[in-house]
Amino acid sequence: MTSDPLPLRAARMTRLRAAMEQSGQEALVLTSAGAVRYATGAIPLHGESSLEAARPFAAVVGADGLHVLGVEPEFVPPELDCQPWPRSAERAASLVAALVGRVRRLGVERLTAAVGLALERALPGASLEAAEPVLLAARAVKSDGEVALLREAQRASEAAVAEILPSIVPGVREVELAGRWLAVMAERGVTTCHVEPIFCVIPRRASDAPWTFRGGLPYRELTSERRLAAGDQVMIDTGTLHTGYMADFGCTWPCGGEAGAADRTLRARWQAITDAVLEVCRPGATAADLHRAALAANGRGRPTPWPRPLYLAHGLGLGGVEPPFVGTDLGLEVEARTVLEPGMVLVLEPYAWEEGLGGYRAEQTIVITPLGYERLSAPPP
Amino acid sequence: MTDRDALAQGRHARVQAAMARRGVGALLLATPHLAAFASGARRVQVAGSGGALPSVVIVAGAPSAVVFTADPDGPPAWMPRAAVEPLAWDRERVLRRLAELVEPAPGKIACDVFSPALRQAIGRPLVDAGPLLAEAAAPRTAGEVAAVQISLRAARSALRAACRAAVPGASVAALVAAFAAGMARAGAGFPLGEGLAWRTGPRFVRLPARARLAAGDAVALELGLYLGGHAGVAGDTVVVGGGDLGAARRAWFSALCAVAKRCRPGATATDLRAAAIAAGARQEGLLAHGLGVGIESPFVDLDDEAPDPISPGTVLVLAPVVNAFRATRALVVTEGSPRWLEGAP
Repeated sequence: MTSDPLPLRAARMTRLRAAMEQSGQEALVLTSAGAVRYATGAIPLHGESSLEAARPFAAVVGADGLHVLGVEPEFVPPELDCQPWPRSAERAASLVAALVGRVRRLGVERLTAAVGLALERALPGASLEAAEPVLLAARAVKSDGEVALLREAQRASEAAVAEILPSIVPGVREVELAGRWLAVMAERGVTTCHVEPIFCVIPRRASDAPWTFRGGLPYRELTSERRLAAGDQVMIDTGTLHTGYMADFGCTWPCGGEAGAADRTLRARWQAITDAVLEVCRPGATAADLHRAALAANGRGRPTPWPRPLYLAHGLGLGGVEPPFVGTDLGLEVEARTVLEPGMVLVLEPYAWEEGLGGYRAEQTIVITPLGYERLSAPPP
Repeated sequence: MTDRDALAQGRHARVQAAMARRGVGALLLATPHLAAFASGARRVQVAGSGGALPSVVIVAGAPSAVVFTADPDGPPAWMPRAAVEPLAWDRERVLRRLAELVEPAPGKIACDVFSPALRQAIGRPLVDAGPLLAEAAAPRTAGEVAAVQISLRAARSALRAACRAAVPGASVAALVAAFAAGMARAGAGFPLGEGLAWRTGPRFVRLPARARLAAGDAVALELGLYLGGHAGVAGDTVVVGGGDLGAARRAWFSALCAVAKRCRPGATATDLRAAAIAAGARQEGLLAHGLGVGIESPFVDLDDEAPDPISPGTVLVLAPVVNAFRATRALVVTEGSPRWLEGAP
């Protein structure tokens, strides 16, 4: 039997029920692998969206209990109801409607249009609303057990990257590094990679970039067929799931292993910004405090030190990126209302770039503690 | 080398044609692989941000989709720069912008996901985009079929490496590692999911990554990858430590051929199912599915009716299970007999 242990599930369910109570949603229909796992402890087969569309799964969090659909019984906690997910949209919707029962407000995660419209017909008395706010409210604060899993995930990722760094040599293609890294992770027992691994050369000049969003710094985000040359600044950014929890690893490594003067300058600038942000990370601080600390450390007249439209920092848990966000288009006003609490996990990822010097980006994962913060990741290599 | 941008232009044209036939004035897509299929942009969304709000908008007659992305290197070269908008995290802003983009579009608005908030923002009903996208999956151009074939070959070759790694005491993760090493050699940097391994028998049991294999275990594997933007997938059954599966493979092969024979224009999923059942196949996952920029339509299940006929130019991965043997082979449906995209076992 393979599913999450009871104490972990119980802690998560307490938070989820509290968030449901707070929002007034009486039941939830969950369809993302992370949310299904969070609510039930069942482990669906993870993949990119087409694989998940071919093998759909869901969980229903009802007043009467939990139901898991489309996940093999071996991957569902034994006491839970577990049924196949019918391929026909009408039959899937009828099944979900029967499990949900009579509710006025139902939270739903992403459903195909066919299933969602059929569910709406099957539950004429219910208002169907987005479940994400409830899920994110529950997931924002991690239990000690969850933090321990995030730390383990981070360690595994760091060890795998350390093994790959010597392969970053002239002549190797970016995409080969991604494949080799996947192999190293799998050798360590981590086979769930739901985010395309990024191994890509940072543009040294604006003219080397594909193009740049207005007001932003030049960067690249996608691994290509490009062959590396000595001294190329290779940005690494990988996401894998270890026991469901995500390790988000990022660093920049010079091809051939020897950092030049430009690399050292940029790294020092990145470090200064990161340190300034860490300095303000504590319970009660707001996302806006982190945002302003980064801008102040970056110095006047320099462009915002993270790639637009990405972020200075994001939350981390059972999937990809999640709130709290710092530095997005949500803006300082929303950020001023986003207050850090103990148990929140943040990935800080400033970016230092300058025309002619190139760029340096790395990531640091921390958990907010009652007195400040604790690092979950090692300093970048 | 595959010119993925040119192939994406062909897909966009098919989507536009299907929109015109169905009177759809605007198409909104939130599911990452469907967004990539129709727009040609690589990885439209940031990791895990694929939510219930669209990141691609296609207006009837427009030369390209409008994409919301954080990847400057994602959109195809032919996409006008003005059609690439920065990904937004502010949900209200996204809803307003989507409403603006589809406002002038006459006809129906189709969407791949269910979103009452989007429906309210747009102020018009949303129809299911699924049938339109299924229609646009075929006919694939010769270039697309060739690109899928390259990915299929890479997946098959990496799968062989995974099968060779199936020795007593090895973990399932070690098999996945052997597959990933094969991916790296082929120049593929992203897997199609975490990989499937089942202990075969009267009922297939999926094995977790840490499960250890014992001599004599019969294990069915299915692993996939992305190469040049196209998906390849390969499945086979092996006996750990070596063992004779000759008779089982022959029974599977005759079922495979029986199903393949029915893969002609106009045939429906019901016809394929009937052929599979008559040849002794049983229900264990999908009998067949399409393949392109991911696993795509059509989906053929042994216990469900799907009335749409198959059109020429459809790529199908057939995966019949006979007794305790499962393997896959891909073909393309033509006007005449189907053409195999992989060698016979």
